[in-house]
Amino acid sequence: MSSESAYDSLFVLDAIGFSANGATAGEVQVLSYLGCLMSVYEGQTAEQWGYSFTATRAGAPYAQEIGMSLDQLVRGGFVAVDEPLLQITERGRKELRFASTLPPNGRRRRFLDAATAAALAMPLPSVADALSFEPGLRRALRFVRTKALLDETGVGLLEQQFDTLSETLGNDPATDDLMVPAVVWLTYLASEGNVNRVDA
Amino acid sequence: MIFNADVMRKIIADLFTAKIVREYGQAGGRRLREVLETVRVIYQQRPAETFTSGLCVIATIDPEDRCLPESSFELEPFAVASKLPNAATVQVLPNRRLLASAGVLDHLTSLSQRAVIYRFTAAEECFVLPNATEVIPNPTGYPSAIGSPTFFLLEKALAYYGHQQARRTTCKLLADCWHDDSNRLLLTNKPEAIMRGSLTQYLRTALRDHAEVFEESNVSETEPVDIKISFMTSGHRSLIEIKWLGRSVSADGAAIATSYWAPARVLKGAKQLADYLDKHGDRSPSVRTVGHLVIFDARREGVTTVSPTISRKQAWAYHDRELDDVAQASREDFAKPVRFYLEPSVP
Repeated sequence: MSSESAYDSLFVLDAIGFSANGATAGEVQVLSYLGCLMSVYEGQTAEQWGYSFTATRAGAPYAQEIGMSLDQLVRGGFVAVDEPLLQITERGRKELRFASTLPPNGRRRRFLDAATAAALAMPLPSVADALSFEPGLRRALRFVRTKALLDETGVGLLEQQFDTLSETLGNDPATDDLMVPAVVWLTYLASEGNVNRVDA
Repeated sequence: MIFNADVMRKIIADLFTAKIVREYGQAGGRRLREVLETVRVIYQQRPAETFTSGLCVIATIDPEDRCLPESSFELEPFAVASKLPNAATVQVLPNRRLLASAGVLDHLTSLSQRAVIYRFTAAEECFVLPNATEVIPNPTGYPSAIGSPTFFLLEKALAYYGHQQARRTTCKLLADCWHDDSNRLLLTNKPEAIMRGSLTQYLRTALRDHAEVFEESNVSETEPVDIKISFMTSGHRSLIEIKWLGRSVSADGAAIATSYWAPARVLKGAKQLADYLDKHGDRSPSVRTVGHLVIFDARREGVTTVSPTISRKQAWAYHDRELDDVAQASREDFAKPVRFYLEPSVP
């Protein structure tokens, strides 16, 4: 497993586990993907995230690295299983606290924090639902096959949306907190997506 | 999807998260996270509406600041149900520690100069800001937009919807299904789309681990499925077909147009769904597809005109008339039909 995917898994489980009684593997994948998207919003390349995502047949984001990390974290006692939920253990929290002091994880914390904060500001199921309208996932659903996400075309489509988002937010002081662009974007996807979904 | 900047501006203007960060800066954003997390933990253990005299959750911008009276007590996060009274204030401290006191503080506006404050009453749910009260939009039928329940099992989500959202038409979307919302004896013309929209919107916010809740618009005899759900972790699918029972009016509301009754309508729906599963069901052993027949039951006795005058007994005549079993329920890919009885509003 990559250290990035292990860190991301622990971060997500710690951030939302308390209020949601844990998270499913799918929810960890979704929020890690949203964190990756927030890094793209802030100008990083998808490759800089450290691992890649594909779209499953169900239209959900999936990173093999996250899947492997969760398995290893469970085996190592950092994450406990209470089907269908995964919960960070005290050992996992200690590991997370240590890993958070390492410089490579400092920057990604901001993006993961925005993603998990969105899941506090909106119902958790709504986050995954809204994210299904992310252009890469929508494209994958339309073609009904497993597809790499955030390839050149996917990033291009996403950047069009993010450019509009950034322009509309402008110098709004609320953008000091990356949670705000994340929630605005997801809220927009959910509202416009409802219209497009029914008419599809 | 082409982004509409005007729509986005409206979202930004109305968003409570944005207003709080504008007011308090990044520190306010951090405190907001703590407040939202604590509110969710509280409502997991006790429904919002049990705080009959109000609940306040506060996180001071300076984490060392204390704002509760001396009578306050330390609260274990998972002892909310037993320890908090029906009017309570909770302060969130560092490391997820909580301090609680009985009653809702009465100087919230002045306190909001130095704290992020969430307040719930039966009348409204809001954040108290120094110059305004920011009401949290609540398009759902739940008392709290933040404390809405979530479910892993579709069957449990449907049961909750039936009891809490459909039964007394608490869902604001579903309210449009009535021709006569005051009495709820007759359905509006072609209410299926409204029922489908209401249930879809609910499942999108309530059903955990779903990848997509897709609302079909072109429902027909051969394409009877109203809602398609795919789940992330298992990859399984659920297909929901919606039928309604009762009477609906014509498009101009001048006459009764359609009547659907059990068992015929239910049997037809079950057969349509089973035929669809046979024709389109995924035969991959790794992808389980299950069909769910959902019945919105608005049957009343003695309704013969669009302005009926019937007794309470007639209005409630079908309340306890459960649906008969359908043959398809013995199939592994066909769940037991679910009935949402829609209560009349006749005094």
